[in-house]
Amino acid sequence: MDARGNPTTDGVTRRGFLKTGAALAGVAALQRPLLAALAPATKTKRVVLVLFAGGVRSRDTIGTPANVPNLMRLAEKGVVFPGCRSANLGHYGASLSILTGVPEYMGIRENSRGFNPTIFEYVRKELALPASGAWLSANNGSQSVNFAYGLNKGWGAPFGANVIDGDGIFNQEFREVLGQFGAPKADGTEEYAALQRLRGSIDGGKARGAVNDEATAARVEKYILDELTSSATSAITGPGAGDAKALRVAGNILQIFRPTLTCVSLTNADVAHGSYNAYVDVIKRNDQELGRILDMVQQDAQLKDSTALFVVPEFGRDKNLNQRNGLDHGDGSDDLNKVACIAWGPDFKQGKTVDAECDTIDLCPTVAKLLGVDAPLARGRVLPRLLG
Amino acid sequence: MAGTIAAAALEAPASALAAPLGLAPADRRFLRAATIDLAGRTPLPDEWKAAQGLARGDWLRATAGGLAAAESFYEEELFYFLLIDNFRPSTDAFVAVPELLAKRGLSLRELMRQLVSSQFFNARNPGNDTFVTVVLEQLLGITVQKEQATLEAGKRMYDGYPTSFLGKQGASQADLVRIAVEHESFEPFFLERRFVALFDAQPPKKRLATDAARLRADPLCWPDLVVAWLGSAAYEERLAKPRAKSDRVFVRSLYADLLGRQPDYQEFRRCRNALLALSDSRPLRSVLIKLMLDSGTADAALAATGDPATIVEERFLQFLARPPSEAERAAFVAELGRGAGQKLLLRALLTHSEYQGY
Repeated sequence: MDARGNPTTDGVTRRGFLKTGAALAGVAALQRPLLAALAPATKTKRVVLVLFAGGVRSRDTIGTPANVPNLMRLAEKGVVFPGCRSANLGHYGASLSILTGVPEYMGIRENSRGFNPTIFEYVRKELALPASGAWLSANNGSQSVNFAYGLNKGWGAPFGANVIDGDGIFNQEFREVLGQFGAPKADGTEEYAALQRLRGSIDGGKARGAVNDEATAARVEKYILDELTSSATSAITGPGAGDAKALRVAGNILQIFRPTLTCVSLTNADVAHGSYNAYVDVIKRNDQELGRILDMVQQDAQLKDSTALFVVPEFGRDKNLNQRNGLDHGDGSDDLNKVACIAWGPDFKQGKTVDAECDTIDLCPTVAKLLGVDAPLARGRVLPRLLG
Repeated sequence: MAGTIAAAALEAPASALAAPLGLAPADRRFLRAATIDLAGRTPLPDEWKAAQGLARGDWLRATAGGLAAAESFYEEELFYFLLIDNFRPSTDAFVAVPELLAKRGLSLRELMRQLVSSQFFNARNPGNDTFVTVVLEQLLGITVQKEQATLEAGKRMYDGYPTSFLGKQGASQADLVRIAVEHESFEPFFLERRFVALFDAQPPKKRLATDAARLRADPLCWPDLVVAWLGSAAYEERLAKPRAKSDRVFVRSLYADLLGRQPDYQEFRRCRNALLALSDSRPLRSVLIKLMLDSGTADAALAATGDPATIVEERFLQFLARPPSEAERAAFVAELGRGAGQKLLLRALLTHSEYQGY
C-alpha cells in the first residue's frame, strides 16, 4: 500500500511505481529501433483478442465440442493451450490482468483504472496509432471504460483504446431517446464536408485527456450514427444479448476501422451462478457470434491472411454444481484455475495442442510481440511453441 | 491534479465581485462556469436575464442558496455513492431533500446519516464487509487495508454486537453510521473532495481546517463555504484553465443550451447511461447534439437575426463564452455565405472540443 493506501506492486509505492514505469517507458522508446530490427517478420497485421469471460470452464467449451463448433474450427486450424493458468481475481481484475500482462488485484467495488499500461497503450504508443487502431468492444457495464488505459504516466489516455459497451448504447433506453427526438438522419456529403470545415476552423479548446483526436472522434461519431440508422445491433435481444452485441459490434468495427488490435470482453456466462443451463446457452450464443467474426475475416481479402485471433476466458468455474444447479467460482479446482486458450492466425502452427505451462497474463506480451512492440511492464511471457 | 491552491489566492476576493454582471465575455465565462459548478449545467435563458445587473457576489449567494444548486448538490452526492438507477432513493422523504437543503432545513451531516442509513444504500452495499468498507472509505476517506482493526470492529457493530468503533460505543448498523458522520474526519474529507472537484487541486491545509471547523460548528453552512470559494481570486484564475464537462454536466447543459430547459430525470438518465458506455463519449455527445438539432425541438435556439458576422459573434459568446477570432469569424461567415444554416453552425460549435470544457 502507498501512503494513501493504494495497492502497489511488489511493495513499491504507487508513486515510485509510476516513476519507474515512466522510466521504463523511456528505455522502451530508446530500444524501439533495436527491437524492430530483431523482430521476426510476421504476416500478422491485426489481432482480435476475445476474452470469452464471465467464468467459463474448458470442459464446457473444448471439452464439449457440440457447444462450440466455431471455437473448434479455430482449434482445428490453430493452437490450443488447454492448461492455461488463470487466477480468480474477480471478473474485472482477471480480465484486466489479461490486458496488462500483470495479475491485477482490484478492490471490493473497483470502478477505477488499474496502475499498469494495457496492451492497447503499448501498441498505440509504439506504433503511433490513432485511437481508431485499438478498440475494445465490451459488455462490462460502467467498468468497461476502465479497460481503455491505466494510470501509468508513461502511457495513459493518449494511447488508450476506444471502448464501446454496445449494450449501453444500442438498447431500449437509447431507443427511447431516438423515440423522443426522432431517428438520426444520415449526413449528406456536402453537409458533412461543410461541418468538418467549420469544426476545423475553431481555434481553441483542444481535447484534454481524450482518447480520440478530432479526426478520429468524427469517424467514431459517423460509425455510431451508422449503427443507429442502418445496423441490426440494436435489435439483438434475449438472454446473453449483451455479449452478443459486444461480438457483433467488434465484427463491425473490424470491417470499418480495420484496427491493429480489437479486443472483446464478455461477461454473460456469469449467469452460471444461478443456472448451469443458461450458462451453456450463453456459451453457445457467443460461439455463434464468434463464428460470424471468423467467417467475416475469412471472406475478407485484406483480413484473411493478416489477422490472428485469440480466445481465452479470464478464469473457469467450480468443478461441481451448487445448490441452485449453477456453478460458482471459488473452489480452487483445476476447472477454475486452468482455462483453454486458443490461438489462430497466419503465423501460428495448425492443429497443435501445447501442454507446456502458460498463463492468461501471457496474452499481453504475446500479442505485443506479434505486432512488433514491447510490453515492458507485463510479467507474462510469450506463449510457448505458438509460431509455425 | 494541479497541486495545491495558494492560500493567499483563496483568501483574496475575486477582483470583480462587487461589479454588476453584464454581457462581457468575462462575465459570461464566470456565469457559465459558476452555474455549472453550482447547478450542474449552463444557465437557462431566464437565469441569464435574471443575472444581468447583479453584483457577482450577490448573484453567487443567491444561486448557491437556491433550489437548482441544492438539486445539483444532492444529485452529485447520490452519484458519488453510486445511488443511481435502481438504487436511487425514491421515498417521499428523499424526494423532498433538495427543497429542504435549499431552505436550510437539513444539515449536511443529517443528510449523510439518512442516505447511508437508507434501504437504498444498504441494497447498494450488501453485507457487513462491503457496507463498512464503503462507509469508511466514502465518508471518512479511511483506507480499510490499513485499518483492518477498525474494519473488523465496524463489521461486529453492523452485525449487532456491542463494540467500540472509532472510539465510540454502539451495537447496530444505525450506530455505526451515526458514529461515522459524527467523526472528526467527516467534515475535512467531505470538503476536500468537493474542493478538488471544483478546483482540480488540493485546498491549502490551514484553510481546509478552518472551513471544516466552521462546518462542524454549523452543519448548515455549506452554501456559505462554497460562495467563499467561488468568489475568490483562485476561482477567477481557474476559469482561465478550462476543465472537461462530465457526462452529467454535458447532458444537463445541452438541454439548457439547445432546449432552454432541464432534462427530467428519465431523459437525463437515458443519455447519461449511454455516454458512460464509451471510453471517450465525445462521438456520442455529437450524435445527441445532431439528434436535438434535427428534431425540431431546438428551434428557439436555432432562431437568429442580424447580419452573418453578428450572428457568428453572438453564437461564439453564447456557447463558448468568448468572441470569435478574426479567422474564425471569417470562416464561419464564409460558410454561411455558401449556404450553411444555423443548424450546421451550432452543430460545429457544440461538437467541438472547446464546448466540452468550461
